[in-house]
Amino acid sequence: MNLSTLKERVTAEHALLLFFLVVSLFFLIESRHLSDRAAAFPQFTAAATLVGTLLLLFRSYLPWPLTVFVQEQEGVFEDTVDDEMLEEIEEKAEQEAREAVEEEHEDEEGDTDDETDDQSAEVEVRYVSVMGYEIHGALFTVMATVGFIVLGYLVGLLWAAPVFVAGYLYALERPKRDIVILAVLSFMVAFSFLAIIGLDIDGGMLFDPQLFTVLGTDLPMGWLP
Amino acid sequence: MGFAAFAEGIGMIASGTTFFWLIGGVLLGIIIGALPGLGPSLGMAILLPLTAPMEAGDAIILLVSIYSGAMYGGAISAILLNAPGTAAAAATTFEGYPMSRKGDALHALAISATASATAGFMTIIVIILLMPVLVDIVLAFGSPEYFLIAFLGLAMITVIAKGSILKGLTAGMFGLMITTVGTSPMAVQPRYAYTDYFDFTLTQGIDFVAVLIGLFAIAEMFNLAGEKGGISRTGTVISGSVIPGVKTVFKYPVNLVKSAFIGLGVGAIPGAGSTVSTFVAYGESLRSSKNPEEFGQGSERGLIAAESSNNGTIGGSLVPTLSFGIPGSAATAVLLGGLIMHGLNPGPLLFSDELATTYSLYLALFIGNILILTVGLLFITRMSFITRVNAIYIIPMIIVFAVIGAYAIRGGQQVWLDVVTVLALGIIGYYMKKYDYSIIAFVLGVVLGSIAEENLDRSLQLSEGSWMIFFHPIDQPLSFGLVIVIILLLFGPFVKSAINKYRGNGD
Repeated sequence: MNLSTLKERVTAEHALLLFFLVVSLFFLIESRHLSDRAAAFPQFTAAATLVGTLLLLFRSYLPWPLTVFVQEQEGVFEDTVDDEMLEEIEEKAEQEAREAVEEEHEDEEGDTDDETDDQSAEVEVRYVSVMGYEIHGALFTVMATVGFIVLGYLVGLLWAAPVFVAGYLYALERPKRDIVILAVLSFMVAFSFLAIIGLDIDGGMLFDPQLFTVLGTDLPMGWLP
Repeated sequence: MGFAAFAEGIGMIASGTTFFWLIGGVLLGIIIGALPGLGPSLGMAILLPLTAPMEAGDAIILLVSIYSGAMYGGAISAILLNAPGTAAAAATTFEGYPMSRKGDALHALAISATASATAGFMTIIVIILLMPVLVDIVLAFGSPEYFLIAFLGLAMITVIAKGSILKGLTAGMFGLMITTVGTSPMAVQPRYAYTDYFDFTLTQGIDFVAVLIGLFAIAEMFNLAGEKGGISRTGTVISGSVIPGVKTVFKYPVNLVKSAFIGLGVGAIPGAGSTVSTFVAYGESLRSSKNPEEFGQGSERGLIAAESSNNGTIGGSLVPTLSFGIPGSAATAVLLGGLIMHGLNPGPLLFSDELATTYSLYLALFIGNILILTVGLLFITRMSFITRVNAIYIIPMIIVFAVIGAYAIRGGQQVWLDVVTVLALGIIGYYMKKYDYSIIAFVLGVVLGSIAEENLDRSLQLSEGSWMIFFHPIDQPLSFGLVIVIILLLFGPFVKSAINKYRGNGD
């Protein structure tokens, strides 16, 4: 097997399974330091996770009796429904929906907005253009969320929230008016946590003005840091 | 005791603030449910930290009301836009959207509101009447039975896991495993918690609410962010009429009652949930119909079956949640988080000392159904604008809500640990969903971990290490029966698959 074939075969699912494998191995090994009573349950769950993960990782190479455990199964309830009839109905409903979408698409030919035109039943992947690079929408959102959390840690979530919302919508080329409205709204949401439950989110590691924390001292959750 | 508790439950509901939270919860739930991609579990998970300063009773009634409202709200976008607001509303699209296409949208919405509310009334009355019996059953359970019920919940993974059962079991075991982080409940010894990372201390374990927010809110936002469209902009015109819609529901009484109780029964099975119950009820309605060819073309019977089973599930799913701490659905898993967060531990206490609170929950659902009927019939036509909201605008707002909500869960040094948990579980949940690893199985594992471990240990202490405490048919008939059910659930699908394969080879 050459490297390019291997690259094609390795998917994010393998990464997920590898994560399960590493974590369960860690739990199993570290449980040696615990007393028997405290170790029993983690050892059982870690071992079960490990076995399940290994079976899934090597499912293509399993002998026949073991493939029964990894193949797609029917649920217990599926026998209560006439599958063929239900499938037929689903197909009909989908066909109707597709026809409706096509008709509406024709009706709205004048509208050139990309997302308004995107009425197809099939899911289309969203990409976001950042500094000339096309990034998958989910990856972009993960990166933006990490940025939001890091910024919140440094300067406080109260100030990071509108920056995150504005930056996110700006990257997705939303109109400026919408960006401003949503950024203000996000600040209000964050501020409501501070005002209602006295959450200390107006300062962080780098920046801690203690402007609003005083508001929270007499509030029900004023015990928070 | 039962009647006094019932009267006290009414008193709890009638107090000013509680009633306000009930109304607010139902209305908020309808809005959340109508937004495709949100749904009751996500909406409740986001709002859970905000309930922290509230009275326990008020908070739980707010969450239950959101749950009830959202289960109905999911039908609105399913009927108008063919985009189910909740997974449970998927069956509603089969008949609701074709009705809208025919210009009967208002008729369909009226059927939906009436069927949902009527099924809700019927099933809740039955549960309230059966409560004394239920109390006796719950109180008959000891540690061995509680362990086996928790194990039964885990065995339910074989039912709920779509696709590969092994994926479901692995997800469930991983969920169980992460509950062992913190302090061992029996040996009172720190487990995987001896190191401080960046001010994090793990002695209190990973917070259940943070896990839920990550798996439901954040993972779903990552998922929506990767797809174009998200929430449809289709400007479906609402037409049809209200009164004939109401009358239609009562034209098919058997269909209505049967579907409502299918919802109640399936909903009471831990882990099964409303998605399963609506499809079972819809399939049964189709099977028993004299005109099955009408299904898929806008059948009123099909719509009634889907909607009545959907709301019937709510009362049913609360039974295992309150009795044994085993959620019947994702939304009740979040509700369970709320119960624990507010110091109301599921189990016998909710049916003895806290019986009034349990009654008040069901009464809140009953009143919530009156509200659903009123709002559904009078105001829903004005709500279609909600479903036209672009997902791009929803994503960052939900993330802000979720991250700050996670920060608010616990005080002290835990705040950033919970935020990181939310992000990590969001990423894990995104990939689990993408590759068909059951999120519900994972949540079942997280929920049942401590219940299973504590009761297993306690049972073995009682029996001085003998495992016969779970199997003895004469001394422990209840445990023995549960063991049989668990074996059937665990091995049934594999045996069935092997038999089918054998038969296939034979042909």
